[in-house]
Amino acid sequence: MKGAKHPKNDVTINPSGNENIHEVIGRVDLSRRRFVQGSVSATVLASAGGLTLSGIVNTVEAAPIPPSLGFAGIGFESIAAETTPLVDAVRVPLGYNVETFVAWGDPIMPGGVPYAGAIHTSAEQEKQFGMHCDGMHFFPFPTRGGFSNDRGVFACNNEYTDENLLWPDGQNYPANYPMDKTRKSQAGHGVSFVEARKVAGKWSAIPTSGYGRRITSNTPMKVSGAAAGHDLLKSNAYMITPAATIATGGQLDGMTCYGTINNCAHGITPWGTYLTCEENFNGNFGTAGAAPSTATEQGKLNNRYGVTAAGFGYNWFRNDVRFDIAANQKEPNLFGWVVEIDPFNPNAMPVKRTSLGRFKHESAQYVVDSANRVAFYQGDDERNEYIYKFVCAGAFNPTNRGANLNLLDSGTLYVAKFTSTPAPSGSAGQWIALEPGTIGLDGFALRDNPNFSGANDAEVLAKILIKARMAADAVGATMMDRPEWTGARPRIYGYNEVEIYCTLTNNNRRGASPASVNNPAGTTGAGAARPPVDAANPAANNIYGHIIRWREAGQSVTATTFEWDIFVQCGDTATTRAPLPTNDFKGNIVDVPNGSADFGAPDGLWFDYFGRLWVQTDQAGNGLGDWLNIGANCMVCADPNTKEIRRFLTAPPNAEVTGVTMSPDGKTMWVGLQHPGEDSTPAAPTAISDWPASQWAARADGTPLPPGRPRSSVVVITRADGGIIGA
Amino acid sequence: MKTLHKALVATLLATAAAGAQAVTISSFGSLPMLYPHLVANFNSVSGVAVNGGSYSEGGMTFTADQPFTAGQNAFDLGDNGTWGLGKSFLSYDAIGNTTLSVTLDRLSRGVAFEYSLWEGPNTGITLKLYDQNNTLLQTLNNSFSPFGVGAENAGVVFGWVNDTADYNIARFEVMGDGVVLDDVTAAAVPVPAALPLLLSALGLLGFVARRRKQA
Repeated sequence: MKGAKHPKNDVTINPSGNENIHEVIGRVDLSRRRFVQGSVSATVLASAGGLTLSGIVNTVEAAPIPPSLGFAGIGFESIAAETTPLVDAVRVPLGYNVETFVAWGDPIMPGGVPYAGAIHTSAEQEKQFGMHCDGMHFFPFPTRGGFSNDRGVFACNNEYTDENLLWPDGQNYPANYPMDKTRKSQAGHGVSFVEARKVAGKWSAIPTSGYGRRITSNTPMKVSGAAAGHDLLKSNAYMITPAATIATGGQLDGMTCYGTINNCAHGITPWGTYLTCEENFNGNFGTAGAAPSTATEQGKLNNRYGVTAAGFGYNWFRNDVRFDIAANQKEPNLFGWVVEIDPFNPNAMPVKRTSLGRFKHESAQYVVDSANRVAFYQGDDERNEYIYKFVCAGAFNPTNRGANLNLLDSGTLYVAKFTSTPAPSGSAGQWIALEPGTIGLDGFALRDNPNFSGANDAEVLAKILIKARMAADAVGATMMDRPEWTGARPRIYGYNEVEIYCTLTNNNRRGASPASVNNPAGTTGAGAARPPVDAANPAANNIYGHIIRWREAGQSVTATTFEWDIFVQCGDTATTRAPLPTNDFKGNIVDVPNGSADFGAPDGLWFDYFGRLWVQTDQAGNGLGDWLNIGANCMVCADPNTKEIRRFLTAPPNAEVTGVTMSPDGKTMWVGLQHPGEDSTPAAPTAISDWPASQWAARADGTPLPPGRPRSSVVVITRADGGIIGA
Repeated sequence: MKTLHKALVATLLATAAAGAQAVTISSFGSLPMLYPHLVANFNSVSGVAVNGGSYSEGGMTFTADQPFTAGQNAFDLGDNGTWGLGKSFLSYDAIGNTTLSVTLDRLSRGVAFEYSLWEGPNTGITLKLYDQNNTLLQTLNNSFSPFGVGAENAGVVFGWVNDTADYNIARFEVMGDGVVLDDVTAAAVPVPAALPLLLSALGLLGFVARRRKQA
């Protein structure tokens, strides 16, 4: 929104010959972040564009970004970076209200008990909002006249649990690690569905709603699509009870399974379902026994996906044999999928849609083109992994929801290859279909590659999907700098391109030596390669990351070619890092004043309904080291035409900003703050942060926020004047 | 089953005894139970958006002067709560009054449906019944007290029965604002060939009822 102290002229045009705002800011503050130190006169500031001294003490003022093709403009002023010492709070621009909507442990369904710290049992956690929120979407209720702006089902991933904060004494293995600790950790994972309702002008997370639902690591699910029923998905069958996981002696049929884990980002479908995307599932497995050898098919698969005996330190496998990769070798193959869930029907069984491929899914962004063909764009979040798209075989039917419900089961999975060609055509890219007949780098069709050998092409395709990373290796896809969220630019206000953006969050192995690439034979360990820089990943030691975008040929999601460019190289304009030949670490962020909206490690990315691009960051979050100037994690807003960026929100200490959604009218925004106070210990859980209790005594709806440990939470943001967020 | 049986007997006996009785009803059990029922429960469809066309199910054809959705899966009804949670129903999608017309494949003696609606200034619905000549037979209004904003799948059953020989419903209209409907049911006039069977069934049920009463 436009502030009272907003400059009234265009700071980029300066006919007076006086210093422009960049020069003023650059001269005033060499440390870049503290703009006003008392050494600049009001006269100089005024000559720079009508600024006043008081006006830039707390905010970095700049002219609003006007609307343009397909974009509604940005009206708020960048807030300052939250540098050390970090305040234990969320900050947003003046004129905006921010409050807690729901926090880890809050009851969300009948029988749920109010949060009272880490004392809750697994049974209680199963009816409370899960831990470490991530991707999210507000599903408004249909109502007369369209969709409600006051009521909906709020779907939110709960990516993982911080075992140090989950129980009063932390994990404490082996001294105190009973089965209920595993079950509570499993219940903290998954997805939370919360009824969101505006009551007396305040948003409430209804604690007893029938729409409240928890999907956890143990929720029964269907497996569908081209890989369903394959032998690699027939893991051991168990009877899962609160007290034990008991082997039945049989096998699952490859069309059913239990639970979802590491649900990072998400997607929605145009027919109104939620997609939760399984990412670092490998970390929840482990074994004290002998993991499958890499000489075996399963061992080779585990190696490519990072499934190891040590895992990420979870101890589930110690009392839940389902997660023991020695005793139940095929179980990891049932994770790494996109799971579809009906948000309005708590009795509907989630479905793992295997045709979208198996990898460490970040998100799944859909696009419906003018021919009603639909595609889902997906990143595989690990260093040197790939960008995929799945094109449904059938067309979307906008007037018959039921006709679309199985569109995700049939289609073609493609992987991206970014190449560079001279202007004017720009840089070109190719979508390579991962099908049995696709010719690999070795000159053989995938059906003749031993990794995917099968009795027929149906089985070959099933293996391609289960081993999607290895199929992408085989065809020479482009290794990217950790593909994170994908976002589709809305085709509104005259903008008609099918344009997709993807955050490439960082890659400290890019350009490292000795150089290596993912072996086309699929034998490279997860994240192990050290690829040289290329056109699409041009920065060595890319610690700040970048955002790439592409436009489909013919404005069609079925295109097999695209043109692309790098939207922004992130960085710190005031970095003291020694430049490399391909990376000066300063980035090329467009902001006014220069450097006022620097950010790095872009992760969450979402276009709102008005064409604004929101980007969220996931870096260390403590404002130290390479992040001294950029400070805490943040969320910025970008103009997709001019690339100009404004900083909108900063996070509490050590928290990641992840997940963003809006009401249909754009007047309410929800944003996720994950893992505030990360790295604290069970003995001192609030040593780093006690957020959100550090900022508020109660949620927006008055529910108390007891202090005592930091809690991943979702905040709700509105404007004091009731306007559209970002306008 | 016992309760159902008693209801059946009571209804049939009451209907048979009263003969020409014409009443508004608030339960499906008040329809002539042994008459063939036309039923649209919208369970076999999901989100069929109708805007100017028609939707047919269970021997009924639905048209309206405003957009509606057959197989709606969730709907905000304001102070009447929501419908959803796996329920599949028909919703009026426009703001303001919509008139839904339901044309029956067979002439009927009664209709009933479960409904709720957007709680606002125009509460309640109007039900109009027409014969095969499109002559208005009956105009009925119905309303209820708000269920509350937290209500889930709350609704009322409303309908009309007139089981007389010359009373034939060929079409009916339901007018209201933000209405949701489910289990739309019509009790069709039995064809002549089925009358002996119907009378036998009535006699059997009456006999059973007398036996039980004596016992």
